[in-house]
Amino acid sequence: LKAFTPSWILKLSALILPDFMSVLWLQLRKLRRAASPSREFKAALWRQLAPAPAVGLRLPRMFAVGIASIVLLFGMGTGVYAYGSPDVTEGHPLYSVKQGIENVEGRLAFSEEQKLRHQRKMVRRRIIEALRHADSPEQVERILWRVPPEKRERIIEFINLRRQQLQSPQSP
Amino acid sequence: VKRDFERFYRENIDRIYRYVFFRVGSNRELAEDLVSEIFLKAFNAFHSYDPSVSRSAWIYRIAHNHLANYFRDRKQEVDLDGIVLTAVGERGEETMLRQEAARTVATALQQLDKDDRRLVTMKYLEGYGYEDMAAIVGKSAGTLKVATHRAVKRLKESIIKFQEGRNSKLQN
Repeated sequence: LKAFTPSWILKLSALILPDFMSVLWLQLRKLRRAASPSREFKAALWRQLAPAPAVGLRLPRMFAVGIASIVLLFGMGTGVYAYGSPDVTEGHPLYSVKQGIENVEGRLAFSEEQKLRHQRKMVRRRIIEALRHADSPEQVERILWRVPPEKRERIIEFINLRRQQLQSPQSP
Repeated sequence: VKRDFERFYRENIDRIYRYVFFRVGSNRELAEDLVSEIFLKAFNAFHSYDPSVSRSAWIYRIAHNHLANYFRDRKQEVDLDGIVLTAVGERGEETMLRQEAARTVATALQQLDKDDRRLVTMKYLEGYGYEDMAAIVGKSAGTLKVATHRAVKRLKESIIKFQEGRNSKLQN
């Protein structure tokens, strides 16, 4: 039969049908797997052999992890607040945090286009801050100190207009 | 030392478990008890372990002596180079077929001579590499490799003979 069977069928059948040795390896592997210890047993035995360190030794690490987590979470929350809030301006305790984040953001702008976009974003942020503090001309001046001089005059005009609107009784 | 022992434990737990499992009639509970005792002994003696001796050979020797003591205390005469294979899993038709194939391999393995059986068991059931086997048996890895290949060849012949005998019985 083998002599009359096309060679490609023989090759294909050799690929598809498992040969004797592969069946033998498979059986040996199955026997080996069936004779393997369970994960639970291995873990339990390891716990028995090498118990966890005493509570006294573990506590400092637990505290350290806890404190680090709190500091990280608090730090992240503070940073997000400082960066996002227009209330955080010069004189605010978190002002340095905000300035730091903005500086990092500026350093991450590599191309000319990114730098320009970042500059515009910073101007927008200063305008929002200045509007929030529109009732205090000194504070507005401090905020706009970081805006490029050619834009500063126009923004001050805009802020003054807004201040007048707020002060007039017919303002919306 | 703890990290060192952990690595040693991970490298050897499966192989020692299988070594014990095949020699206690595939009794999982008994194997777990004995393996726990063996590793406890190893843990207590780990500080005095001689690094010039292979670790696999060291724990193998502990396991061998521990099993010999166990059977001696129970006044049982057991050949520790022999293994007892039993079918695993008892659910469904497919499992039955698998058991049949496993039984064939197990029967053929029992028909090999002691040295061949030991080599095939160590390599393919317990999972030792040739280097570890060399340290345990006390022969070179190359010699053991050749001997194991020959043993597998004889195992193959033994299986074919076993299957032929079974088929002729069924035909009669």
